Amino acid sequence: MSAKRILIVDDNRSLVTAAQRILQKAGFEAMTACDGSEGLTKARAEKPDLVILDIVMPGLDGYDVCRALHKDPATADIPVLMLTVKGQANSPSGAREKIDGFDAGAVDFVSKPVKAKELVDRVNALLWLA
Amino acid sequence: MEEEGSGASDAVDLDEALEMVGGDMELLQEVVAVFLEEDYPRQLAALKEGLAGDDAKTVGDAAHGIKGALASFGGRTGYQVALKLETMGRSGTLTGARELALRLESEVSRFAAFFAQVEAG
Repeated sequence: MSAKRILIVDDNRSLVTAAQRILQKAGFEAMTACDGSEGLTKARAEKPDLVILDIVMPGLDGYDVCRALHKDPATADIPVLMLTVKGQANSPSGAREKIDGFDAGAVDFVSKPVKAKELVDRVNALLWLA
Repeated sequence: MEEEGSGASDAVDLDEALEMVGGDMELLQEVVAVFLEEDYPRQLAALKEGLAGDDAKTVGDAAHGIKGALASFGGRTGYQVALKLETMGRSGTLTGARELALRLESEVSRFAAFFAQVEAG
């Protein structure tokens, strides 16, 4: 069986590199994009099995990218996991961001900093559900 | 106000940083280098530009980026300073932000010194 393909979109190159290496070690094929526009282009071209998307990015932010993916029939079915520092369950702004994210089409959230094991477990769970 | 450390030893929680990368020290050093050589210079330039132009959103966004990396790679003291700066930027009030930015620069230097020591063994 071929490896599941994950696209990680985050403007912090260090974080995107860390997530890519962690997912590669776990057996996934992991691609990266360093802003929303590049992420949208790669998602349309590569049709990954899952997109991991940061919210706060210059230009197109995570909500914009998520909405665009879900409007396009070619990418509408790709599950999106939003990766955000602010998405803490116990913070009012985090709760609002989650609602906005779900409205934009995200299927789940994970709060940065995310431990390697949690990232891999969350990705596996979402792919199993998809 | 909390005390700032003088050396590099308390700038990083190495156990926490390693947990973020699944215990892989080589990967941790690689991504810290990416942060220090690629992300941080760009984010610091944006922070300074935001402060010079009294642009709170730019200050908040730049501090947010620095904060995310420091949080992920164990830079606990720098993280706290970046968080304060981000909060200032988000609130639109930059009073005292220049002093905080200088402190953040100093904390990132200590963070870098810590990993330089680790690499030197």
